[in-house]
Amino acid sequence: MKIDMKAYDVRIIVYYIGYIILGTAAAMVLPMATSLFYREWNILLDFIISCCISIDIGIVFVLLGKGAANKVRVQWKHGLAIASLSWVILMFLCAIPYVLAGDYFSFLDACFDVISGFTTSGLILIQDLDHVSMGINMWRHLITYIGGQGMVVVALSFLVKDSAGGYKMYVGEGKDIELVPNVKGTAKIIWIISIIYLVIGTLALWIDGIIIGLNPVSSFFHGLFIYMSSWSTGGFAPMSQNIMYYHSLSYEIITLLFFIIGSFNFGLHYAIWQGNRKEIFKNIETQSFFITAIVGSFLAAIFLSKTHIYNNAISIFRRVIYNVLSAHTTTGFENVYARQFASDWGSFGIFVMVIVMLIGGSACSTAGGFKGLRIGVLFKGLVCDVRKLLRSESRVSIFKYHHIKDHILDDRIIKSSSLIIICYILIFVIGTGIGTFYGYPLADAAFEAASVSGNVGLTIGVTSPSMPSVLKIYYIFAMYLGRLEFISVFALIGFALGGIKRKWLEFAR
Amino acid sequence: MVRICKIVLISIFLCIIVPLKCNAMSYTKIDDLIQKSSEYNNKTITIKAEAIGEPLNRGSFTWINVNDGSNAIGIWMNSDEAKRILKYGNYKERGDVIEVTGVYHKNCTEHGGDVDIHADSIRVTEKGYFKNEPIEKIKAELAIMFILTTVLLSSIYLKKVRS
Repeated sequence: MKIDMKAYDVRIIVYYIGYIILGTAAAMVLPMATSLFYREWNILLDFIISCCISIDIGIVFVLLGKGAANKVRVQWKHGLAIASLSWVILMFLCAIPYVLAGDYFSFLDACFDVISGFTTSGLILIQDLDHVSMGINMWRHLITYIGGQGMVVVALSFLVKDSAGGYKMYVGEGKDIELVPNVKGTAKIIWIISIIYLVIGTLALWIDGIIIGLNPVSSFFHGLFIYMSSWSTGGFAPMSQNIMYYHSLSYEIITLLFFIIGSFNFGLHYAIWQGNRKEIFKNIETQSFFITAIVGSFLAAIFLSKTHIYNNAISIFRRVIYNVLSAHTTTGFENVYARQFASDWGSFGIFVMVIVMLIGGSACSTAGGFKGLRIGVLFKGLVCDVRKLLRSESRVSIFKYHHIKDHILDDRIIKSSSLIIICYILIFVIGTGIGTFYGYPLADAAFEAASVSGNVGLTIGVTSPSMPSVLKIYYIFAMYLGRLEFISVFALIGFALGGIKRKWLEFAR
Repeated sequence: MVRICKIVLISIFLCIIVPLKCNAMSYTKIDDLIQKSSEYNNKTITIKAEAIGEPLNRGSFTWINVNDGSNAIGIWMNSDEAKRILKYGNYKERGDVIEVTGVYHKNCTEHGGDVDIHADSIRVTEKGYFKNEPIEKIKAELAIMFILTTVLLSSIYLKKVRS
């Protein structure tokens, strides 16, 4: 029997996406339980409806693709398309409870917030956040937490039995580190690391919340939400004032600690857990992060103390260094008002923020941006090229860099790092261009474009429900591209165009 | 003639009194404080806003966060004064609306550069209330319909998987 491979290609993709949707439907149990606990009956109904719709679609997808799973091996094109397409479908499904709860002006706004959560960006278009239900707040923060680890990681850990093609989906989601030879095992280790930190972080913020005056029950939920956002370098918070709501240095320090840890590579976490503590100092990514973080914080602190905006050490630490590190780790927690960046920080302050937002955190972490690894590789590549020029032509030099293990620094690695950085710069430039086209000042447009490209979530005031729809759609696309690191989205576009071309040729015949 | 004089005098009196009364009722918007922070810095202002979240007690002083619809800000006030606020806005409750007069800081040196208001006086102008939330019938009906569909599809799925 001749197998129609094209049809099987689609069916295998649909099959795995079905499981990823079922995984997301299972996650809705948590906001349901929260709504039940707080007796938010209408919100509970919203989640029941949304969960059922997701289960139904998930089952239909699995049944449609079932036959293909045993006949076709997952190839790279499938893995990349599964990862990128599942994010698009989940964006629509996860927006259903938001829309039913009536917290958004439009479905587009709800989709914006979902993708902002999944990509751990943290920009929001939600209305009247201070009166939003606990169920919806749980969903917002859960989305960002799951998005940080990756939905494919969730599906691989709990749902997909066959892990043969898992690595391809896993890479498609912007992660490429292999902690153990089996990708399913790697996904589980990522979850174990995240859950252990979840317990420690929530406990720390819960206790601190009680100390700073929150009542024990709300302190627990605030602690859980803020922890989820910190670890995922998300930036969502349950109140409109974000971290400013707590008016607490200790709360800020705890979040700072967890979002810095969260921005580190899962491989680094695993190495340290295995007892290899020296890795934190030897790793090119942490070296790169510490250098850029120190330089960025120093420059911003010097400039803002020179302009007398912040005139004591505590203010500089809390308002400048905290926000620079929040931007650098692509978290997006802010303890100044959005407009203060424009009115108080000046052009140089905004420039520093744009640069650190674009650099971002570590590869294979919850953070976005160019990633420290690529910056480190490019910098080392430049240094090596200069060294080669200065040495004798007959001498063959091999240069290495350390990232979990020693790697040879060859042109292929430098080229792939450069290509990804160029793609990031491109979406940043286009975002800035669209912003200025709609009349926003250049500095504001650049700040916001850097924030969406690097999945940061800090805002200078551009992101609001009243901004043009074209800008909202572009920001959704930029956040999505930035989080998946381009390749899988390009693969999906290629896959779709290939299908359209084939259908067109069939039609033309 | 006397009648005309009376009308003119009353009119003049009203022209003076009415604007004065209007001025007394005007409040600064929180968003204005943020946008024009240098203009308002270290000045005494009056805002009217809803208390949100919960009080954050710090001994003899308490942080109260308020939102006037334009933005939200923290108010640093005496804990005894804060006790007069009984309801705080959240999903189920509309918080007390309070009128706060105090000094605005765009970079409070006492609170690590916080943007805040140190309250001199507060007055509860509107009492908060519990928002009654009846269960929406359409949502309940939809939920039942989708549950039934899900049960049906799940049974088909289980059969197919076993086969």
